[in-house]
Amino acid sequence: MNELETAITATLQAEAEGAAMTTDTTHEHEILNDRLDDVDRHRRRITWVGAIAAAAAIVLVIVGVRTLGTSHIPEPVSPSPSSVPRHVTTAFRPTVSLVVPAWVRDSTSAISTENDREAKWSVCDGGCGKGPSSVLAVILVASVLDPRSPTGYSAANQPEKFLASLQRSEAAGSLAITDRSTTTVGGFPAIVLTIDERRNVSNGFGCEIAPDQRCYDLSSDWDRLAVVDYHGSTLVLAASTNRSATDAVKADIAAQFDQMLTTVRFDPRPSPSAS
Amino acid sequence: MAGNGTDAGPGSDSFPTSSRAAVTALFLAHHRRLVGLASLLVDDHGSAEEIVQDAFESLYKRWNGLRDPSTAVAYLDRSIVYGARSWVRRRVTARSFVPPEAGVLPSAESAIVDGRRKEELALAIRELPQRQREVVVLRYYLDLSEEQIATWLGVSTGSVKRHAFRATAALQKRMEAWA
Repeated sequence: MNELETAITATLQAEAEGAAMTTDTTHEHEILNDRLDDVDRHRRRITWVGAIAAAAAIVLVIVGVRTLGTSHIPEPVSPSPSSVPRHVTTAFRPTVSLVVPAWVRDSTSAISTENDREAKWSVCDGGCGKGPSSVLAVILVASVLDPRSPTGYSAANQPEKFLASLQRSEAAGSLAITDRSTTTVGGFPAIVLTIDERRNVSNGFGCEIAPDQRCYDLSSDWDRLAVVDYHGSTLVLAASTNRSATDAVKADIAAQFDQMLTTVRFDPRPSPSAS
Repeated sequence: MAGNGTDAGPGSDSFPTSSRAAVTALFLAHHRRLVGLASLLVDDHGSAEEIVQDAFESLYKRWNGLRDPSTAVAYLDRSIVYGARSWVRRRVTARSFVPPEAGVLPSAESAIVDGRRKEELALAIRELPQRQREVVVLRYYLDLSEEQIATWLGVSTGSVKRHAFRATAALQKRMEAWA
């Protein structure tokens, strides 16, 4: 190891130790306990829902057998929709329930994270950047301002504004928009589109509308987006992968993402007409 | 050198069997180290702490799916790297207007580098492109081999070498200019 490498190692160790010393493990442990309590509550809810669904299925089978007579062998019962595991957000607002695509659900290395503004799954088994397993799936609320205006806090938050900002970025050559269509997600109007990010642009994806806002870059990703008009707010669901992924991989991701959109429910499910 | 994921963990005889107790024990044993690791990959301390929280929550959710509980520490390390990348890669940011966290204290062990030079080097590392920064942290902080880094980052060994070369060249140039 030469002098520079020794200096790099020492500097990184000093930086890490400095950061480690400034964290309050006791306080952070309390936060973690709260988060794990939320996970446990969520699990219990899923268990109860599963038990009720299973009980209902058994009752239906019994009723069906009695109706058809004991000499008749019933046809196999197809799995009920409730047997497909749904993810219900715990911290993210609004509460969203959805069926996560199988390539995420079945991955042993999927990493899920959630907070009040973002719920996401990262899948990198097989190596990030290689094939469908490299997909970085993200579901997030993007309450977006104009790109690169991080200090321009505003209450205005129309989805049209977000879409317009993407179109401006397209006009500037920073991204390309394709496969745009209109649909509904969870009963709310939505625009689904694909974007191909062609330049790294700091804050180019826009910034959240919040006092402690975060901003989002354009960073050589390929994304399938659903921009949902949730009571006038912008709620973005996205599946992302590297631009370098093959067209087949992107098509597969898009198909599964679009399928996922059909499973989205908001809870409590508000009436779109109430907005 | 910081731990590389082989520390004593859930594989030890006395390790608690319930997932909650196991994750708690791991948290108490590794929280500070992981905050340190995360802080090398993102620019502010709050984000580093949140990434660590996310990693432990993710571990708790997936505890029963771990084929080998002794891999939990390595899982946490990788979660930090992936979490930091996802934070930085589009989702981070705020980078242009959130200044790097102040108050990182120098270590006595780093006497080999004088104070100002070390500050300059630390700043230069933070200003590296994200992938180069990841390679530098994994190579020189976690002491991973090029092959291990390639596996973690999902790139070829050649790509790791290129990133490492560019990073060290940039740092060398910066240090020479500073001198």
